[in-house]
Amino acid sequence: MTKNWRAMAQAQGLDLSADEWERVAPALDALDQAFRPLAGQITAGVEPAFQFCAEEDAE
Amino acid sequence: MIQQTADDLRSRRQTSLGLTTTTLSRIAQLDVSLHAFITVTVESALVCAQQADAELAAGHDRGPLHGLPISVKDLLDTRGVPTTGGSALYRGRVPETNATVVDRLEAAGSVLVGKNNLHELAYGVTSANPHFGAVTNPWNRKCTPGGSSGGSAAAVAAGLVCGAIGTDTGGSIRIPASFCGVVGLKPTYGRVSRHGVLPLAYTLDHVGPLAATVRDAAVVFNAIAGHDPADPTSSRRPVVDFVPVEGCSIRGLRVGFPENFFFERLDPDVDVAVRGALARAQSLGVQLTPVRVPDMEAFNVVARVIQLAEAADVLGPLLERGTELGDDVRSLIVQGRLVAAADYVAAQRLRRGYQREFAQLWKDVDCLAAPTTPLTAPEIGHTTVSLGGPDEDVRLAATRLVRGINLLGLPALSLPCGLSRSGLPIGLQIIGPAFEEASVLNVGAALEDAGVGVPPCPAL
Repeated sequence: MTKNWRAMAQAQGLDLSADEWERVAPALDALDQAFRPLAGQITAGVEPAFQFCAEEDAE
Repeated sequence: MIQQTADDLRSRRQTSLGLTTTTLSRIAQLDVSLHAFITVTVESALVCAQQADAELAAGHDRGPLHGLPISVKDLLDTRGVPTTGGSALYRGRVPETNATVVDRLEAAGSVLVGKNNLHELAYGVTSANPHFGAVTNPWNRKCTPGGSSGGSAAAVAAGLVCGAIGTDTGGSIRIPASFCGVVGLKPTYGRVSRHGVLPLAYTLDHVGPLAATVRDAAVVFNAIAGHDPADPTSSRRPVVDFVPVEGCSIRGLRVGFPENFFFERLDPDVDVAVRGALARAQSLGVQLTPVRVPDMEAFNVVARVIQLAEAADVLGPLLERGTELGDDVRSLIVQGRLVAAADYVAAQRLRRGYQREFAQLWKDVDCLAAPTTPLTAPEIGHTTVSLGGPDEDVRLAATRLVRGINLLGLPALSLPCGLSRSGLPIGLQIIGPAFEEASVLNVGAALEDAGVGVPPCPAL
């Protein structure tokens, strides 16, 4: 099921033209459909990489 | 090439002033249609060149870049020189301080001749800038140079500068390097300071050199790499001399040859050229080792979620002045605004796991070799490409083989490895473990020494 991007945008006060929706909605749908299964695979205990280091033990 | 020019300056066969004057003249002549520059710093460049000549004459030698013309992407702050980010919104923005990288290039004695055009706000891969003109590819003016560092790559390819600085968030150094037949290095995350560089995505942004040869790129990299306390993500790892020695050997090196992903859905000419370069590597004694890489499609998806969210944070406030933004950039900012916070965190958690998964490869190989882009430079304005499957968005195709490496923060070099049948350059990508830029550059230089590369760009 695709998300209601238009409602989400409106809730944020984003006012988009029909042309803009043609660019935005399909791109978001495709990305969301690809991302959702990956997000479901996350295992407990994995911390986010906010303080990202290219090497695991780098400072 | 840099070393030869540096020698010429020291032996007085050439002066920095003469070199800079010629460079400025060529820029004036060629950039009318190349659009590789947003600002050309004529007066300050001539002053700087005179100073370089005086210093060299007095025996004050700052190293191989001393007196040589270089340029930087107009995303890096330059004191007293407009820095627009390629956006109309920043037209007339004049920083009071330099980016750390610009300071370091100055300290190395280089002569800044200008600020390079780019994809607006570094957020795209075509460099078809709606405000400062579409950068064209010196190899074929109908084609894109790639992006977002398109002006930097085009300036190097056209022989206008000895080196240039670009940035790479999802391939923005390596893609234009591949399309323009030049060398581009995306260093390890944290190796080069981001201080004073307009951000796009904090955890994916990298700064690095573009140049005509691997050794030239290494010379520029030498000048800019190293810890910067002004950048909280800057690594304290010590730097070495990154310039490969003449006759460097790669005999016995284990070079990973990805059996999956990287050689799928390629332009046949790209496939042939990259495999040819790998055969050349084998002839140099490299141990070509087949490997299976993790799910790089997943890496790309996760990297896009992170980039959209982080860029929306940086650029979101610009939406209020949306009519001054290009349609494509505005669309990406809007998309980022609609990425849920929980999904951003999930993406960063996935990233951690992918980092560990990918690192397993380094048990078996010293580096990976793959194409940089699955296609050669498309024509300006083309939005889709067919590569042995359904039509693919040009942006997704161009970033397909490079974006995942930004997620990992690993060093990756693109060097030209041949021309397509239509005469467009093809890029070979060498990916290494974190902070192993020296090894990656060594592989590139050895291949270059063995004849892997492209002929000089045809006269414009």
